[in-house]
Amino acid sequence: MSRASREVILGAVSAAQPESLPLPDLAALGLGVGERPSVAAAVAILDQIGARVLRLRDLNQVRQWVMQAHVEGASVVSAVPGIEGSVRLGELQSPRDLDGVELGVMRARFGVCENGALWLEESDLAFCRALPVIVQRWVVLVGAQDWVADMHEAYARIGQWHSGFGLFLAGPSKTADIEQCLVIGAHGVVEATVLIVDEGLEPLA
Amino acid sequence: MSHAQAAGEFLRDAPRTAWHDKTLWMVRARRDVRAKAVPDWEPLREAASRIKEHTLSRLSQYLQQFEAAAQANGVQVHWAADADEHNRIVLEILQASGSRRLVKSKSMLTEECHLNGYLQANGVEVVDTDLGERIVQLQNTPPSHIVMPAIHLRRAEVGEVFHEHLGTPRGMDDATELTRAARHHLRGHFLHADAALTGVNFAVAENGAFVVCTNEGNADMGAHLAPVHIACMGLEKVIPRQEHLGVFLRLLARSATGQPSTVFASHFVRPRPGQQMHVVIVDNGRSRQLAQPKFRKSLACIRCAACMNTCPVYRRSGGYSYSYFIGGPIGSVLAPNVDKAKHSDMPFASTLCGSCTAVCPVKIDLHAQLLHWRQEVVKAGLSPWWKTLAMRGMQWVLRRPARMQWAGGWMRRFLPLVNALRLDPWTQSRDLPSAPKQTFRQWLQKRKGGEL
Repeated sequence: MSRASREVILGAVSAAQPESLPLPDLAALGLGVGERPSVAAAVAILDQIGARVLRLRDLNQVRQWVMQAHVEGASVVSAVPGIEGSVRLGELQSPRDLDGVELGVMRARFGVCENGALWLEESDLAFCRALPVIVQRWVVLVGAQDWVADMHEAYARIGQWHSGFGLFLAGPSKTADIEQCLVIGAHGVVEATVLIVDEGLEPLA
Repeated sequence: MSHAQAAGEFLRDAPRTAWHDKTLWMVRARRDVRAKAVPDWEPLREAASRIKEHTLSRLSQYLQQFEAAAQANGVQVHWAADADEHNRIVLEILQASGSRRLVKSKSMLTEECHLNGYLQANGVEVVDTDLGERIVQLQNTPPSHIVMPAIHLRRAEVGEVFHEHLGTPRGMDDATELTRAARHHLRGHFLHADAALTGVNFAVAENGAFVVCTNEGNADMGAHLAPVHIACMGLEKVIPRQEHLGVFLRLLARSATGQPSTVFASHFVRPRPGQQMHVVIVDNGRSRQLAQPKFRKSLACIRCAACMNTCPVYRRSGGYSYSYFIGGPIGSVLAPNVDKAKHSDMPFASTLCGSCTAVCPVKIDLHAQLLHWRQEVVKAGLSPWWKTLAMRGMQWVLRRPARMQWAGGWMRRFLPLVNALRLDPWTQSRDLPSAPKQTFRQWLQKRKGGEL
């Protein structure tokens, strides 16, 4: 791996780049004008993109919901403290061992109203980055108050963060690569449920 | 083969062409609906355009800032001056880590560098994991579209490919069944891969993070399971700050497919414990493009393909009609920088209608650049002889009013002959309109009853 290429490339770029142009002032350009998207807009978009949305009162109801899935025979893995799964993340040798697990339970830090995306950092995945993609179905909890209008607010809320990985997750995985026919469930989950929880969620660290 | 000849091949199958045209127009229409639902869409495009222009004006600084931040995060950064060096670096990483099985998510850069063939020749098993890319890989053909790689194929053809390579029953042509078959087949590869390679949509200078967007989840499946993650990026992918991601992520999926966002927008900062993470930064002609003021802005491209979906020529000629692996308007402004002689007719595969420029989320002046490239191609003497001859003739005629007057009268009489001979590609499928009985000059003289 040549050190020389680095110098050659940076030299060529320095020589080629035009005189410095200013960084635009995003606020002055009129971003974020107009009606602000609400949680209702997010619910409508989640519906469009193939995710199910349920509104639950508290963590107890969430527990019951997950228990129900478990009773129906699904193996469950949970990254949410206070919600037990049948597979323990701490005991896995490798994230590959999650292949075949039916349901993954996670909690998002917040949701974005304009596109239905949910922000999760690796600590929210119990440091198993593959969790949202390797299980067959996911259910993500998000507080009813934890919503921002658009992606600008989203990044303002993320601010300086210290995780090694984070993602915006918007609905179940999908593809339209065959004749533009939409198919839910490409490599990731085939079914996605967003649980909007009214109260009782602990603040996230 | 010229673009026109290759397009002629594509057009032989009329129902397929009609379907291709209609389907891409549907994607364009979805983009319109989504964009109109965003009240600050135009300010957003303006912001994206200016952020990119600013970044290009300080690119060397931002690249170094990104490199330092990524290294501090534990990511190994490599620099490749050209495609060969890029391929060598990837192979060296794989060999040093003892990796023989590689899963790849979509990366146009690795198409540009012809990485797959190189790695396979060196004993690496390479599996493209984006569904469309896997289909064309099994067919041993390149993608025909940068976002929808298999858009030129009908589902029955996909069924044939899967029957042959994945052992699905003959005649399977249901999109869901075919996708499930691919999911099953590719999951096996994900679970046993030694290394994963992804592209990079955005690299953030201030914190060294890079963002990869997919709908299928294939980049995440690969990168989070394999012990080695290699991310390959063109040097124009860097942006100054994290907050700028808000601008680009709002534009990207809406422009590309008419979705409010991609399903996954994954932000990679540090390798997970025990994992190696590499970023390869590639020039391969980009610094040369940066040095050309007229074409510099093409480096702002975020590869959404909105310009292709809207292009009346692309929709009707298909991705394989272009001599470069990226077709459509953006491909036609990138290709001549790579090899002006080889891709000399790509800038002419356009009506210059400007629709590409109108939909571009980062406001690249695509149709103006196409026109500039035409001028460059002609100046370099790469125009076909008959076009040069015709232009010379035209120049000779237009230089003197008397010649123009004579030629105008002459042309009126010989128009039917032009239509009959069909020497020019234009007249092969169209007739020139019939000429009026008198020239404009004769008409005006008669009206005024005297001299001009």
